[in-house]
Amino acid sequence: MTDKNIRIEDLVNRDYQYGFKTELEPGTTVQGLSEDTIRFISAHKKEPKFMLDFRLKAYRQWLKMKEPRWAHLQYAPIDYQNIIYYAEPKAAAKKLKSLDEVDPELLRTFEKLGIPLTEQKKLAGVAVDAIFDSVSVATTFKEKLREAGVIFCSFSEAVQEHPEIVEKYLSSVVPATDNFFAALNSAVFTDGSFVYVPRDTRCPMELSSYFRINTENSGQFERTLIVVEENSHVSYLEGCTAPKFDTHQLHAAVVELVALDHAEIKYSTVQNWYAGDPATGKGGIYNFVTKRGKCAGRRSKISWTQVETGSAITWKYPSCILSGDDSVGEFYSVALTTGKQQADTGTKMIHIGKNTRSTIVSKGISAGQASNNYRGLVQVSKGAEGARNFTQCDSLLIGPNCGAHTFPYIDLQNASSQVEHEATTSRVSEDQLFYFQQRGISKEDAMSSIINGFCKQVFRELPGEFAVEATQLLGLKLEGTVG
Amino acid sequence: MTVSESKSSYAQQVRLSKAQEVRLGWVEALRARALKAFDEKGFPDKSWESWRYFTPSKLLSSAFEKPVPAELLSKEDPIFAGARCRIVFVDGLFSPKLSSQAPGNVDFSELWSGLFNHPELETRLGRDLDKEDNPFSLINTFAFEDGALIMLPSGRQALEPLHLFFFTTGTRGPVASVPRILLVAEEGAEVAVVARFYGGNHGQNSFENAVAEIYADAGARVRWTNLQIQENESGSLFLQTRAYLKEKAELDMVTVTRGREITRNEIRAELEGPGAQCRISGLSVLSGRSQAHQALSVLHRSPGAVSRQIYKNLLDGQSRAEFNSLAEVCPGAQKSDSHQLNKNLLLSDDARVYSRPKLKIYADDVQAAHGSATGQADPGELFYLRSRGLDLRTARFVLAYGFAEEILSLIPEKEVRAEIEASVKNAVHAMVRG
Repeated sequence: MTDKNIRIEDLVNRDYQYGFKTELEPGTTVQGLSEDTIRFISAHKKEPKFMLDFRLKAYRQWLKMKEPRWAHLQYAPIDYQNIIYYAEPKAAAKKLKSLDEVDPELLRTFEKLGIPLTEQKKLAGVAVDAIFDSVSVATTFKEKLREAGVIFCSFSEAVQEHPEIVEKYLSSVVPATDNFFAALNSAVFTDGSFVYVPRDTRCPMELSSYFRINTENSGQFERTLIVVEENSHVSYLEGCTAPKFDTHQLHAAVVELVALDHAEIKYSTVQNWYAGDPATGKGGIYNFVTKRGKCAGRRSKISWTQVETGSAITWKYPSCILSGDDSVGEFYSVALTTGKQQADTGTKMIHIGKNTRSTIVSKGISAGQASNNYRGLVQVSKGAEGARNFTQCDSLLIGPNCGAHTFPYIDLQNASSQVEHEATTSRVSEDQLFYFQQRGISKEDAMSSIINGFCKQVFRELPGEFAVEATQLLGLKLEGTVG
Repeated sequence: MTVSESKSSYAQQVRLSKAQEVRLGWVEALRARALKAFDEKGFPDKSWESWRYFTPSKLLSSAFEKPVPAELLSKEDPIFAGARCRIVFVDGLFSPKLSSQAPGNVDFSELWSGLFNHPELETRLGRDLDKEDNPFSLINTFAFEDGALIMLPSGRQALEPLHLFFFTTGTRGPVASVPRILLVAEEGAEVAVVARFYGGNHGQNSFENAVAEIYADAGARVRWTNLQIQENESGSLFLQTRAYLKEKAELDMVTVTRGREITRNEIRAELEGPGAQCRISGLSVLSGRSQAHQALSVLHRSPGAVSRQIYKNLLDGQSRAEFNSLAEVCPGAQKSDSHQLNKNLLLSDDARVYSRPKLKIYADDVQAAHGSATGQADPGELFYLRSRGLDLRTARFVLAYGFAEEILSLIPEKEVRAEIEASVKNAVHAMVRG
């Protein structure tokens, strides 16, 4: 057996490398959902009254809503009373003046995850907001950003320090009652990231949030709000991991983006939540996320790029409301499902303004016994003269026991619009592999080249380091699935 | 009586008696099962995925007359020219006077006598009742009044096309009819069928709820043309087609839709044998407030089967078209080959299109593709034609009719094709503006 084979066998048996749990002295936790839970969260975070009202209104609506079941997903019912809605490690409870005061155990956790927060080890050129269970632990490069006028902080901080911006834009894109999971998030969200870029500003560095769920049975309900004023630009990345538990954990986030005239937001995600046991399907994150951006201004642009590799269940449709004339929406996605993972993901492009354009490129890879679904809506409203959409969604199947499904929804009301949708489903064929092998390239390398080629259109949209990380992540996840 | 009120009373009245009259216990039992299934299911609303863009709420609150035998036409009517072998229904009731004799080599008869003569049809009529998820199909099963049976024994070829005429008169007010068609082509048999649905000409809101079951056994070939053409925008037609294709069987189905308020075609083709092939295509030419909804699904249950779906919509006025199709490759159906294509040409800003070409794939060695494109006449193409001396209106006509012609060219019977081409030409001519 060659060295190469040994390495690959190691990789095949390799576990989810972020599956460790950090032992911290437990702090405040709140289990079960009621108005009291919500009042507690709001009071504990010393929120202004408008926030409590917003939460309670959302909760009362949520009680009347039914959990959606239209997605092509199968999972046991979620017990909403058994979830920990607020988990705050004791070490993160007190308000910190500087990073030096952060509990070293927490810092070590993020370092192990490859997200160094201490000054000397900071990733060059990327500002990070690190969120651990329900609280934001630290935000780096805050000062440098402030010089440029950019506000980048945890959501809780924004509520305290910039309540007027929060009140103006909160739920302006995703209404509290938009859907079941968005309503739940609106009622109980604990923290998240907040970005505000003033007009005529190009954010000097990439912004990034890192989400970590640590406590068993806890749910993570974070909320991200990004507002970019006229003529400004920001690029934002998010990453996420969780320890291995045998029970499912709920992650129900809401992300809202607002782009005003000539503004541009680039939002990239590499999602690697714990996917559950590949053989039994035990454990893993239920990822029910509502992400939506509003191109409110003329010639504004919102671009979503996502690489979805983790989670037992993914239910996620990052969308663009193109209401400004000449605005542009983009969605680039690679969704990989292996083992018993299920993903139902895609986008919505709502064309309202004139000459709005959107591009959708979705690549689904399904292996093992997984199920991978693309579900996307392209809607052209009556007034959207000259709207243009191009959609391409390709699926790649690896092995005979997985499924790949495509559910496009195209709804057109304007004769001058042009909409095209294309989809193909295929597998990595024996003759493709043979072609590589007869040129001296091993089967594994051939496979990885073919898959990277398949995803290239999406990967090249990711910022530099993320593209490398995504390629490696995909390689790791697929080891062992290739026959 | 409205359709919703009639849920149970339908069955208790006249509808069961026909089976009793001809002493078909198994049909009675089938109807009772269909009624029970329907009672559990109820009528669709917007929360049903395949009824998302159209719910029959208006239809359900309309009152309909019970059909009575009516003879409006004579046997010599030009409408029957070229249709030598035909079975005619008026308001869903079999009209022996207008129908012709069956051609010698094929069993082509009114359904009840057919069921009586062929007890073996018990395994065919309503075979997939337990899987049936369309309430209107269930209604047809428990309430069909009359129908047509087409049977071809092994290796038999029908020498000429068989014509089915469904007239809705609506002379006494809106009428609801529930005709049923059963086609069985045994091994290696070949047949061509032309089914014509003529709605009421008196502006009446009639409702036709038809079901066609098609069995193509190994190596059989079925060519089927549905003509759903009506000059006004009234009435509703729901046609549920269920096709079962065995090894190397072939089905070619073309549907042309024009006029009516609502037309809904639901086709489910099951490719049960290896190498089965089905080609389903359709054209809707809609104006005014007409709506055409196509709900299509092709299930690849066996390896090596081929399916093609091509649907085009030409829309003007405030018309609506829905293309909701699914190609599903079941586990183990390797080497399946499936294509879905939907193209829409919008001539008006008030027209609306919903396009949903869906894929469900559970096998890895398959070819599956779908495409959907919607737009208006290409300015470059218009310019090309105008630079060659065509006026704007003619140029638009050439492009719009050319768009439609691709589907018309798939109609296998020459005479039928010529007739429909003329009708579509007229319709397109009225739609294009200079």
